[in-house]
Amino acid sequence: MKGRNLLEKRGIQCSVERIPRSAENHGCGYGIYVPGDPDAAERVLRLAGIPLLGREERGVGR
Amino acid sequence: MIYLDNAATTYPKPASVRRAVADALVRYGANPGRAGHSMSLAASEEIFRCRSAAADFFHAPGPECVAFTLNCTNAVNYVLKGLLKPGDHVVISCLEHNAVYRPVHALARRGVEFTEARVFPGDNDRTVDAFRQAIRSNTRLIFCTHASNVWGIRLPVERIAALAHEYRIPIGLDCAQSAGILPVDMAGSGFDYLCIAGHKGLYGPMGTGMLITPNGAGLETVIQGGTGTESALAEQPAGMPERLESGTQNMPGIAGLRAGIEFVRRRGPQVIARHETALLRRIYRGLSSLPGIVLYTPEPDLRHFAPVLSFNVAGLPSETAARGLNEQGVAVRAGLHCAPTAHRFMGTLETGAVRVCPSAFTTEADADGFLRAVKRLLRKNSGPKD
Repeated sequence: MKGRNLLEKRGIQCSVERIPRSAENHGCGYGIYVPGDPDAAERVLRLAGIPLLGREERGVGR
Repeated sequence: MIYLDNAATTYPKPASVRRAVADALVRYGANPGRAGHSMSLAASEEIFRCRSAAADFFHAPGPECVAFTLNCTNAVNYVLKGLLKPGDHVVISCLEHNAVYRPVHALARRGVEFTEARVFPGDNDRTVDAFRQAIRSNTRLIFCTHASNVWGIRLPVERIAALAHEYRIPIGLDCAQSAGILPVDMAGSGFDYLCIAGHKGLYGPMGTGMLITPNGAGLETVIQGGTGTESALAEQPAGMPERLESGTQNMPGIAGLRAGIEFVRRRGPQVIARHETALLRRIYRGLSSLPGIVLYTPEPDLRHFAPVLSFNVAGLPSETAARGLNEQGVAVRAGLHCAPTAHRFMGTLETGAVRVCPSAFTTEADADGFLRAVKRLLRKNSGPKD
């Protein structure tokens, strides 16, 4: 939610939601859905020191 | 009732706190941080808002540094037992509550060593020097109360933190009696672990507390379990705050705690502290004019004291005095206040003492009513004995 708030402050539309279990995320986790520019969102989060455990495309898998 | 047992838990709670708890049961009735449906996410949002409010209030690096606990005692145990190993040494003060004293003694049976640094009320130089003298080559932690829960004696924790960092030793604080009243600046003072009671000076419901630390990932966990994250792993997650938050959270309590923090922020901790200290000085002056009242500390001032005061009625066990006050509608706490070391320090281990602590809601009329009740108690006590 810290990441979501940060992105919203930068004008990047996003929402927190549950993400499907996968080998990488070990399941039962949450993610930030970014419908627009995920690269820009990733840059913002990384610059803020928020750890990114992975990136997935909705409905496609990793 | 004149309620002066606010050092145990504040009463009444602000209307906003009562409303927040009731609303949470209706609006945030789902388990936070577990499911993906809207009410679960809304509950998670509310918990996050409280985390953010607490992080802002104590100047923590971020909301992820705030782990919710049952109370301050749980938070203290998480730090002491999560950090100290056999062969380590910890420095505590001579005024600790059993929340610190008992876990340290339990750890001592497993090979952890400890030293009680003497506190010199009103002489911060000597107190800091006592902490310096207590440090050894194997000192792994300095952990002390911010203010005595019995005598209100305030420790120079900012200076003790500077000392600790000079020796590269982390410092933890028991803020049970100070949070919401005395300034606690984690970033500015370099405190490593803040153990907070939610239900005292922050006006939240009982059953709320916090451990605030940027170093939670480095603590061994005392409790492991479901966090709603990384569920396929057998190991407890390393990330904060879930590392220290196993099991379902006290959602209504946390919602109430957020409202409590906002209440304190709106009113101003300094305003509350000045208000309570003024009332305590009024009580102190009233008590000091009464023959048969034993006071142990000088008239409280905020520089050296949190607004807590203990006294005795000469010749009367503290529990009997408190019962006599209760019969007149005055709520105070007698005995040892779970702090035998603080009583040993003042020579009251055998007698205990009667403790008085006002809150933001206490009035001058309450203080005067308390003094009248003490006078009646003295008259009754000085009458002919059967």
